[in-house]
Amino acid sequence: MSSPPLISLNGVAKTYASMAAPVVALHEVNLDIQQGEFVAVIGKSGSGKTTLINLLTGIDSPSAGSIRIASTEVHTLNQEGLSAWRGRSVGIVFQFFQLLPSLTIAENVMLPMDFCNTYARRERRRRALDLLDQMGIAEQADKLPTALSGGQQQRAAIARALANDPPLIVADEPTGNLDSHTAEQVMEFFSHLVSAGKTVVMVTHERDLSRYFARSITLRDGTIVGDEASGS
Amino acid sequence: MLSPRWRKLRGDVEQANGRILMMIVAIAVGVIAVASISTAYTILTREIERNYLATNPAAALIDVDSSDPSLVEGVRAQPGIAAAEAAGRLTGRIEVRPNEWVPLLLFVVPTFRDTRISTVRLDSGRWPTTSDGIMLERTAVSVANTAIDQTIHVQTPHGAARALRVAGVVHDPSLAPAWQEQTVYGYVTPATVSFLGEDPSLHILKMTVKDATSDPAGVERTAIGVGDWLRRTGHSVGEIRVPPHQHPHQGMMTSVVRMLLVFSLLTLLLSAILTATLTASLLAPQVRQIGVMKTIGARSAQIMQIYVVLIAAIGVLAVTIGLPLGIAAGRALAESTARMLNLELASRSVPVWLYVIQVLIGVGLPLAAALIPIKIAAERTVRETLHDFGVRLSGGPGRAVQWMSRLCGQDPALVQAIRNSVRHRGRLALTLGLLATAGAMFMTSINVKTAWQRNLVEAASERHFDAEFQFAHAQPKADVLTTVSLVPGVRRVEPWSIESTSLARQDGFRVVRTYPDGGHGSLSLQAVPRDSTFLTPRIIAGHWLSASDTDGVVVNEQALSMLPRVSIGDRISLVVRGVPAQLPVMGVVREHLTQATVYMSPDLFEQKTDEPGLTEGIRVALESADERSVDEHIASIEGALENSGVKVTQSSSQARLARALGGHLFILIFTLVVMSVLMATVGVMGLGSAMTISVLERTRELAVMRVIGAGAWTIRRAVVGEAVLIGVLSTGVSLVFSVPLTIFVDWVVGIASFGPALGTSLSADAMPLWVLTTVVGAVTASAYPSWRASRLTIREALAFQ
Repeated sequence: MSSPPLISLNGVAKTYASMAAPVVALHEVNLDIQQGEFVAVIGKSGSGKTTLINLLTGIDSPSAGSIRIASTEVHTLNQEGLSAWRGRSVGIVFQFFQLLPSLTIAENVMLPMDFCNTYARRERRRRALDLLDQMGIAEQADKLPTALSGGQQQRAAIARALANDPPLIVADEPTGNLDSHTAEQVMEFFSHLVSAGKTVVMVTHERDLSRYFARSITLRDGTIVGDEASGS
Repeated sequence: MLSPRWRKLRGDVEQANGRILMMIVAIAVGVIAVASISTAYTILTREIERNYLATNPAAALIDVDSSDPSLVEGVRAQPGIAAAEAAGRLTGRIEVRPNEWVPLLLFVVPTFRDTRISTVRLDSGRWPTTSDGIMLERTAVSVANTAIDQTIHVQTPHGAARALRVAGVVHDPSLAPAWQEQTVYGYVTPATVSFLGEDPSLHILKMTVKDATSDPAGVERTAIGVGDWLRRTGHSVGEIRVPPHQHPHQGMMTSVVRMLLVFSLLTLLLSAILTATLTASLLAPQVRQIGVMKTIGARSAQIMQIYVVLIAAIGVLAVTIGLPLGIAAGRALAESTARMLNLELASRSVPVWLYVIQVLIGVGLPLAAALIPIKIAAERTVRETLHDFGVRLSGGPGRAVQWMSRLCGQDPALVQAIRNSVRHRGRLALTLGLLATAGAMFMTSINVKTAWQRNLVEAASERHFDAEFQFAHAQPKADVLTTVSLVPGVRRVEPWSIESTSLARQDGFRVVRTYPDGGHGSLSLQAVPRDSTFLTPRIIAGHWLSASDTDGVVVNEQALSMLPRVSIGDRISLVVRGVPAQLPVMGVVREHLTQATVYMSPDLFEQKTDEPGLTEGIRVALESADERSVDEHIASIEGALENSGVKVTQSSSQARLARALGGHLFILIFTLVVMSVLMATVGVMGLGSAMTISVLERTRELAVMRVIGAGAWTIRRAVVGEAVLIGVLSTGVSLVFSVPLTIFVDWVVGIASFGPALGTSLSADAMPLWVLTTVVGAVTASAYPSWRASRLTIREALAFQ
């Protein structure tokens, strides 16, 4: 008997109000993602990729349908509940890194542990340094983000996403702001994470990276028009 | 080791140190305002009472025909009486410069050393040992233009001018300062009274009551009991005075300082609002970071906690700076007010509870105001924060904005300034509120000053005479008028008799609530000559005295306040020379800066005083109203009267009276102006903060402007133009706010000083002055944000998140 999916979307729709007319960003999306999958979400601009990612991370709430991640009915949580859940259960990586500029790299990585009160206070820095070491930027730990290259900042952002050891990593075009060499490095990290049992959902429109994904979901006008194993 | 969230806060503070500093200054300004006024209030209310009570003031004073030790002993034995002493009071005048006389009030005590009721404290010199010795109250020394061991010339109603030696100076905190009243207070023994040619016997019984906390009605009952006993023992009882158990100016001081306290709290409230706008400006560039923190697990409460701690810390720091400065300023204000009121500050200490309250409101109020933007920022959803790109303009510009834009023609910088100003209407309202309140306060202080000056002018315009003379005895009118009208420089002379009076009672006693100086709280009767041109008060009800009003009276508003529920046509019962009289009220008049007075026809006055054809005083209009000239003419008129056998007991000039009144409110107006400057500072800082936020939010827009060719000057003009526009808009609101505020302050000042409200005057200078202040303030406040905006490189601005 197969294990239940980590992520399950049932009839999820999202409509945005606008002064002109309501804009439907997602139409009745049904989607299951298993634990340990490396999933790419692809599609043109305006296809609904970011909306889907925002719904998965609780950044936005669906207009209809249900979203269950692990055992959490995400669509039922309020903003406070979402924050607490997200901090422990989802690591988010942004295209523009979104490191807090006034904190050092290590402090940025420690911040989720601080907010979610995970790990003992004295262990947090050690864990942050371990994560940074895994990302190959341990020597940059006490520098401010502005002192790092784009690739180093994105690695730091991935370390931060892993701070509370979440089962799910969601990345919104994490390589979109990186050169091809650094982008490859970042994808290697994600592959390692998947190997270690993490589930990674990534928005991208870089077809060169398709070899890294086990599955690709294609969106068009808010509807899933393709869901296939990569390489097929 | 600090956790990352607090390290983040530290980093944010380092990046926004300008705004943090502004917040500290804003709150500190508010704290200084509240601390200074509340400190002054606490010290003054405590010390004015302590000073007054230290004299062991008489609870009641009874005028009797004569007294001796056995009578005093008998009074002491009466129910409710704690102590009693005999005393005297004598009015006269003192020559302060050759032929320039000032009223003199002499307090007579059996001995200086043994006086226990209404005591005075030796300030310098020594108690007189000879009959030509006199002690002067310390505020009277400068008015008398003399010094210890110098000789002064004094004249009393029944004696010739005599030389007295100033043996020493005393402090009598139960009296209004001599310079304010333009009266010299002296203290003598019966031997000196005799030396002056007056009856040395003591005609006043001073007494204190056992229940010192008794209300005036209780004291009055006790005093009436003594009066009954005096009558039963065959004594004639005159006026019974039950002074209010407080310093003559305590009510005025308390009202004024309370009003200032309200304004200072308003300043703190403005500081708190400014803190809120500055907090919003601090949070504006943090919006996306807050969103990021929420994506990694931060809850709204945790975000709020970070900024609440920051604002609380700022509040603590501001209070640490502002509280000592405010208390120091409050002590200085208390000292200068004490000097003005002739008080001795035994202690400048401030109670601990006041410190506690200052800390609580200094930290709590700004924090409470800042909680609004903090809560809004912390509770925004992650999606909103991550997609925040600054301000948006929803809908099109309103008609007013379109109209103003058209006025600016094709100048895009100015058009943009106008449209930007209304993009964030909540913030615009807050900034306008800050500036408008400051402006209203500023204009009010100028308006009150104008109203006070106008009152002085109107008071002068109601009285068309230059000098006034009181005689020792009633004189034939015709003789006196002939004598004086022949003096060169006299334009017109009228007989004016003045008599003190009181409300009649069924028991026949004359009970008044006047202060020991006999002036404050007194009610007087004045006989208005037919066809007089010397007094033209404004009629506010009924009519002025006419030839047919043979038995009617006209009262001024000050007197009306002593006669509750009296309407036109009602009869009032007054005691004139010990005889009750029922007098119908024909009219009520408004008079400026004068005391409670009942006006009647000369015929009625002569009938009630039983002095037909006689007058007790005159008023004189001179060819020249110049103060020096008036003084010279007063001397000439007195000379003429003396030569014709008329003894003058008092002479005064209206110019001198105006000078005395002019100084009364200086400290109040000065404090109001200081308060308005503090508020203006807060208001301008608020505008600066709003402009900083505006520039931060529009960084991308500004970059786009640069991309399409706008130069640094254009950017600066847009930002400065917006600030000036908001400033100018606020002046209109200020004007509207200032009207009720002016009415309120005029009312407080009027009631606190001479009775009726001052009468509202809107100064023509106030608005232009405030517009100028606002424009200069707006340009100053927007200088940094506009400079910063013009310095942004396009790359920085477009990368701004």
